Amino acid sequence: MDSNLLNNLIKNALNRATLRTKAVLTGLIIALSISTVTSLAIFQIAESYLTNQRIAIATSQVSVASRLVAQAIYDGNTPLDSLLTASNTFPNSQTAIRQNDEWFVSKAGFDIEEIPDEVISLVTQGSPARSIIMFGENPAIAIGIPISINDVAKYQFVGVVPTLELQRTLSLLQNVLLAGVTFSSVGGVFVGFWLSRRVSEPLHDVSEAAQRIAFGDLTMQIATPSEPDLKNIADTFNFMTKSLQNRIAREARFGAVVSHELKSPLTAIRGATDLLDGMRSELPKKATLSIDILSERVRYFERILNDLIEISRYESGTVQANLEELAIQPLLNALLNRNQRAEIRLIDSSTTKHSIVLVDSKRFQQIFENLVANADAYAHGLSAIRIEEMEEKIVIHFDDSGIGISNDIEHVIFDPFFRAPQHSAHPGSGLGLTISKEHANIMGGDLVVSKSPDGGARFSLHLRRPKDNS
Amino acid sequence: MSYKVLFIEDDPSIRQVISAALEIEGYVVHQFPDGESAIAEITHIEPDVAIIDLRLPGINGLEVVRTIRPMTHAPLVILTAFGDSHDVVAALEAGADDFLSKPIANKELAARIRAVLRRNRPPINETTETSEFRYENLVLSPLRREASIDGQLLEITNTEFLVLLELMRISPNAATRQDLLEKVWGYDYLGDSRLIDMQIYRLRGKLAKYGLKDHLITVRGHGFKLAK
Repeated sequence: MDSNLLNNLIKNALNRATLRTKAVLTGLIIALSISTVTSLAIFQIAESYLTNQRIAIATSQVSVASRLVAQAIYDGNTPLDSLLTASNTFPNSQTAIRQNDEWFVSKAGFDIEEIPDEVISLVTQGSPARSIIMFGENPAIAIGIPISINDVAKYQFVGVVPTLELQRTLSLLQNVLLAGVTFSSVGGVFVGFWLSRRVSEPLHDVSEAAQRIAFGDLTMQIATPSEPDLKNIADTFNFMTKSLQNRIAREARFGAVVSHELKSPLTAIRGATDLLDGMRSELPKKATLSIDILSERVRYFERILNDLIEISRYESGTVQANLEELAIQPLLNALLNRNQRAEIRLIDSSTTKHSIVLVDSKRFQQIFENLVANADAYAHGLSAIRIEEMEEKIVIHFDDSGIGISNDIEHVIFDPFFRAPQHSAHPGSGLGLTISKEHANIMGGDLVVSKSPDGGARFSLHLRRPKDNS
Repeated sequence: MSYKVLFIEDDPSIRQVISAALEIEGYVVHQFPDGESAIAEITHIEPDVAIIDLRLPGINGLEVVRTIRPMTHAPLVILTAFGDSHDVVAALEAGADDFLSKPIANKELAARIRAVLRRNRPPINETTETSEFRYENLVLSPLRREASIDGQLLEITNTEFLVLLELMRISPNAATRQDLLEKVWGYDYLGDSRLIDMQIYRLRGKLAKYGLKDHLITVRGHGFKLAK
């Protein structure tokens, strides 16, 4: 694989990995490298020390044996093969001696071919030599010493000392070090995990708190951790929540004051206009035209002001639903009658007679009137209202047969102040659907838009059903 | 006979305009810019209805309602620019009979005043059929506007009396919130059910004091009725 590609893959994987995974991986890598390097060093030193020591001991043993053999040869009382048996000072060690190209061995089966040639040739040349060899199946040290009688090198003495014990010790040490590496790697993983938890737990608290704030709970405060760095984050966060809370309270107060300050003069203007309107028979025609314009504009102003106040109430989170359990069909019938809209078909496909919903009747009425008015303004009126029963809710579809809602504005249609470009000439604040959706949400339901089976738009109001119908 | 309206409102332009509108409708309006001056005059005026603004200089509208509630049987109507739930509930709890939101059309104001006055009059047509309604040991006399338990007179407001009367009249059937709104408050549109819930809540408390506990029951998804 291309190394750049591999690098990128690793980089991407690391970028995607969570903070915890990264910390665990880092802990593992650090622990693994430190313990491996240390273990290798320890093993090298121990191996070379123990091997050297073993060689020194073997050398001194073989050299003692060679001196004994040389003394015995000098004395001339003992045959060579008997001498060799006596010179076996180590268990399992073996010796051999050459006289005039003939090898005598301490034990049957000692194959002199197993001794490396360079040892033999060095000894033959009169120099001592040694080598680490495999003797049979076991490791051993082969030591060659020339024996001189009357300063003439006449014999070559070879001792083979097994080093199986040394090998066992080294392999034990190797296993211990390997266990050490494994153990410290696992330890590294744990340390990484612990550290990441230590760091990520307060961060997790912060993110959870931020989420709750996003959903409107401004009373959220997070506990202050003891670490100074994390404490800073928590303090800053709590400070932010507090100032957000203050700001929203300020805005809510502002909204209340503005609404009162605007409503009072509006009440007087409305009253005065109505008074004038009551006297229109006594007024000239031009004056009554002015009254009509004034009345119409005042009502429009009133509607916008009410919408703005309603939106600001929702934004400050001070709205409470006044929920009651009502049968949906009679409620819709009553609203259709009151608004003199009996021509709108009410199609109830629910199997339960009088399905009951949890509803705030005043807000429901506002949603109803808003959707009916929108259909009148933009789609020649509603074609039908359909009641659909679902397991935990009742859905009321307000269907029309107009041009429908195009896909590109479907997701923004409930945004405050949104007006469809082709309808910008119609009077309206663009708050009606926003408020309707907020109303639906505060009742525990929702308002969504889709395509109507009658060809136009469908606004579906989802309402909760009471938990048990006992 | 002209009805007398006690009108407490601190904003002079609103006071003048609404007074003028009511006078055109034939009412005699006594205007006051604050609660204190109105309270001082109320026993002297003997109003048929009182319209009270919530935000007033000095004692506020809620205090005014609490003070004059024991002094008059006239329906008390709150006129407020603060249509928030807690304001309305507090006003009804204090003893108000109805509430109106600012701004309001003169015609609607006049219609609502007519409605509260209508229900304050004895319902003559109905009393010709029945002179008394009985439920357990509770007796309601529409003619005398009296409710009594074992001969002991109940202290209830006119609105509470009318809610009770309607429930006894249709018993053992249940009344929907909308029925009560129409019969008691005279609303011909989908009204605010908080009005009814608050009155039912207060009535339950009063009946319980006279030993009629758990008799005014809620019918889920429908409304209220008297227990059999």
